[in-house]
Amino acid sequence: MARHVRSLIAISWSVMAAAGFGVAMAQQPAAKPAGALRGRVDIRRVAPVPERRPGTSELSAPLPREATDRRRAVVFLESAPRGAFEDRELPRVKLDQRRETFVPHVLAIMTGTTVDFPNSDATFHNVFSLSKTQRFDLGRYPQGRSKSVRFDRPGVVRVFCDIHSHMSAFIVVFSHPYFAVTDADGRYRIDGIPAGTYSVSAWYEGDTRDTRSITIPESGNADLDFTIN
Amino acid sequence: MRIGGPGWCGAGRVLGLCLLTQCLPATAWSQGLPALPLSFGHGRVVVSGDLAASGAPEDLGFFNYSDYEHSTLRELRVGLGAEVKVNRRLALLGEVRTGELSHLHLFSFFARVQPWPDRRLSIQMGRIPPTFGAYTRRTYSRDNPLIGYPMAYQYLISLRTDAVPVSGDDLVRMRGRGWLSAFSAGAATLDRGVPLVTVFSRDTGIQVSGGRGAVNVSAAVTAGSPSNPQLHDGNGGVTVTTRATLTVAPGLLLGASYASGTFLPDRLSGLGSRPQRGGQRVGGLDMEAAAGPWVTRADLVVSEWRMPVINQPALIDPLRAVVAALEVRRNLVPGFYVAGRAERLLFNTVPTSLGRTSWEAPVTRVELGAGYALLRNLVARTSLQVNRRDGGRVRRNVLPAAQLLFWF
Repeated sequence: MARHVRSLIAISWSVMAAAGFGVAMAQQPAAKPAGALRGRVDIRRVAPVPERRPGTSELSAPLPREATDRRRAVVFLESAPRGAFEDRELPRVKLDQRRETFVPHVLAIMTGTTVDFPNSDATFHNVFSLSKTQRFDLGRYPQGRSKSVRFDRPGVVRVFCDIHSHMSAFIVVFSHPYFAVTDADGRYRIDGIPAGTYSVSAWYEGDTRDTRSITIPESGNADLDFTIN
Repeated sequence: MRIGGPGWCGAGRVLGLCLLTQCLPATAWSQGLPALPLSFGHGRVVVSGDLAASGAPEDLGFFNYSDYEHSTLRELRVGLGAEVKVNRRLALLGEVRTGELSHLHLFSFFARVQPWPDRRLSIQMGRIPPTFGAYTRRTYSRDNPLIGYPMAYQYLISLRTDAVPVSGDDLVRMRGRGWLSAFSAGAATLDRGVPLVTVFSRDTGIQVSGGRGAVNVSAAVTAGSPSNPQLHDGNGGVTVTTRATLTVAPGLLLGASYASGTFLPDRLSGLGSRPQRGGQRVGGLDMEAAAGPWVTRADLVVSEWRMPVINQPALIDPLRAVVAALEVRRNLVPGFYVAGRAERLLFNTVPTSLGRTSWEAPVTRVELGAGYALLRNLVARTSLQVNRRDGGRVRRNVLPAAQLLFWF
């Protein structure tokens, strides 16, 4: 019987690990004095901004779009320390639809977070996702209105507009709080990480591009840079 | 332009597609299929594509034929569109299409000029997009929720551009025979008729569009007519088309279109005792309302053609056709929708030796369908279409159809 229970536990961990952004805290150290992980993600080949489909049936040229920043990567701990899953109050976050662009292009959140999708354009938008992590379709709604979705499962959610096929964004959902989106210079900082050794990954435009091991000291910071080709 | 022929075998088609896909940049690909338009040269060149593979039982009533050989419910259609942005003010756009992967033709090719790039004013020249109506500019793969086309833009009536009926009797003899029609004057061979407004070819000319606030207006001068777009002027006349749209509220769009021009070549217009210019006039109203998971569209098209007066009983009054259509689409769950369209096509009456009768056979069409997105840009669709015609050899048919659509 105990063997079956052990097998079940093993399977459970495998499933969670296979979720990509799942957790594995059994072998992690207990809560210790916290340090910070910081560094830079150097993106050598920035993903191009998706172009509109050629308007071979349009009567006129479309108006200019918002220029999105495609240099944002997400850095996160593959495994989370104990205490990472304590209940905490999660802020609502916003993924705007502005000049036929989702702003920001990459949003990283914790499970349980509610994302608002306001429409700031004069035209209708229809936000939807067919991602396995979370499928949703908010329907068409006009400027000034907003709809929201609560994300309860970790994973990557690719978001699109059903009307404007060139609009896309990523919502990366984690089950722990140890992640950060890089700034315009590629820099990131993850605070409050209990001391210990962790696997850290850099994610960019749909894929985990690099994974490294790092030890967070009992006090102070650890530095870790990534290069994404 | 024509590629292929008898040697363009099935394996060659597949190989050609594979080679084409292998030449494309990897960045736009996801899980082996391109997910987004392909761009080159920092977005100066953008290429998109559509592929529609449809299957259905044989349409014995020819309700869905776009010509004598091709049913729109049974076809493999590939289209590639491209835009080359020369600078902020000038872009070149074009699209090639192929039916059954055998005949590649240049569907559209035009230059777009924006004198003031930040204003809503565009001038387009070449084989330009249609000005008339709303449906004519919808992307079939993304914006036609059903497999069949609306009748106003696809259903072939008996009128031809290279042959004319000499009398009412000659005309009504071809009721319900639009896919293969013949009249006593002009070309002696059997050939297809025309739809009220076609979406299967583009007209050549110049088009100006602009807008301010909720209003957009467009006007075009083209060589052909809405029923019969032309690459070159074949009849010594032009067609003037205008369109205006008003966004009444977000999600509620009203449109009105009008076109008037020459339909028949001079050699046919000049026949008979009372020559009259063989022209076509078309008016249309359209509406699109959207809210939440619902999209509703309504379309009314009225077209009339003038024929030369040759023999008795003479075709003195214009031949008129009216189509009314209502289309509803609803998203049920993410990636899955249902849709329906109901249409009625009617014709006015003409004198015949047996009394007045409608010059073509009225048609009613109802199509119901559903679509499921396997990927964002890979959709499986199915539909059931019921056609009823008050004339012709096959008066009623029920056509189930299935389709796989891919676009990027």
